[in-house]
Amino acid sequence: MLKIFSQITQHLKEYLILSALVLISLLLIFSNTSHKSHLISKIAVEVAGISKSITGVIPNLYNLRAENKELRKTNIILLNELNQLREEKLENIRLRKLLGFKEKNNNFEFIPADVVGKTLINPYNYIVLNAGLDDGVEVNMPIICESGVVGKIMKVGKKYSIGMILFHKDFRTSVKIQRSRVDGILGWNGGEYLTMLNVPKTMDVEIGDVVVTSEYSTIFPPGFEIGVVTEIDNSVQGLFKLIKIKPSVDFTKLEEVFIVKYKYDFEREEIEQTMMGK
Amino acid sequence: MAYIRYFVAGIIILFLHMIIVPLIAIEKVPPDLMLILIVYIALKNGQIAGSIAGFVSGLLIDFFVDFTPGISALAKTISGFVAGYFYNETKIEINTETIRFPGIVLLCSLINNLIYFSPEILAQEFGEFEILKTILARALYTTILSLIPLFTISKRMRMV
Repeated sequence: MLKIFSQITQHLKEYLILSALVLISLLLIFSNTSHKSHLISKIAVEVAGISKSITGVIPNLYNLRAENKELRKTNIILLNELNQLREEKLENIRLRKLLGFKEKNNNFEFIPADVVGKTLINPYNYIVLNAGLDDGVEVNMPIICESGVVGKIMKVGKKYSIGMILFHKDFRTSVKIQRSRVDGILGWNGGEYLTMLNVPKTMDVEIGDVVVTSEYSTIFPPGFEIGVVTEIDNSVQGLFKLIKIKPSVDFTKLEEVFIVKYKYDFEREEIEQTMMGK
Repeated sequence: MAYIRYFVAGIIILFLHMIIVPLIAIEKVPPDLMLILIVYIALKNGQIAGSIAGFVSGLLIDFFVDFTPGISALAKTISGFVAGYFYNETKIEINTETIRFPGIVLLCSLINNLIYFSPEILAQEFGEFEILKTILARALYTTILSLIPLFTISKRMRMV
């Protein structure tokens, strides 16, 4: 390397003249419009392109910093969008399930509603729904979701309503074991499980049996899932078993529900009342 | 005085280039008579003279033969410069009047042709055979013709 350098400095005049003449020649080539000049220009463009692509690999630190900042910003925006999309996707899945449920049970008319408020820690738990009189909601209408029965309408406002959920001290409804058709009354005495009351000890009930609403109910249409039998205790005093039921609905995650426009049968109620009066 | 002689020789070769060379081309391969003169000037006077002679004669060929200013000037400037590498004040006669002369002509001709046809080569306008024919054949033809002045002018060769 040093040898070449010393040779160049020794013959500096020769190299300077050569450089000048080469430069003039190149200027002449590029100032021309002949085929050859065109070819040279074409090659020059290629060479420029290749050299650009090579130099492009070498990073510019200032640009990198600015680019990094910009990318971080974009990343935050994209993450936010991704979260929103995930939310929407989950909502979509839930709504699809609900719709599927609706299709399966198209004998009833449904009023869709969002759960806008709920309490799960009191003895008298309830949910607040964003559907009211304007939407056709009435007291005692059943509330369901894709998993099963949620509760029933307790109070109705113009645009909102309050629903009594299964975990409410006053909630009672007729239910039955789906497999063995054994009837009972559903209630809640606190804790994380529901209770099936009035089931004689001799009746066929097994752990894992599905509990559904009964035809005896004047509020709920028959066949809607309530939950699964998780515990059976025959050692309690009296004639009846103690059956604990795990509800199908996860109330902690409840967001969208349907209010079933299930008409209250006044005539039936009247006859039953008359009979009881007698 | 010597430079005027070179200039006159250059003008004569230019005319030969324009009139005779196309007639003596073999398979469309013409010899480069001007290059022989450039190499001779470079070997007699050094790199600067060789470069300038290459540039001027190349420019003349560009304007009067190729009508493409620049490319011959570039090729011949570099060829003249390379030929000037062999310049040695004590070995001028050995370089110009012995078999070394066609050897240097061959080398410089190859360099000249390579530069002259580089646009076509890089733009891939030539087939492999065409490249060989153009570069090698032209260099060989020029080298063979460089033997003529060697045998006619050189005292050493005449003595041999």
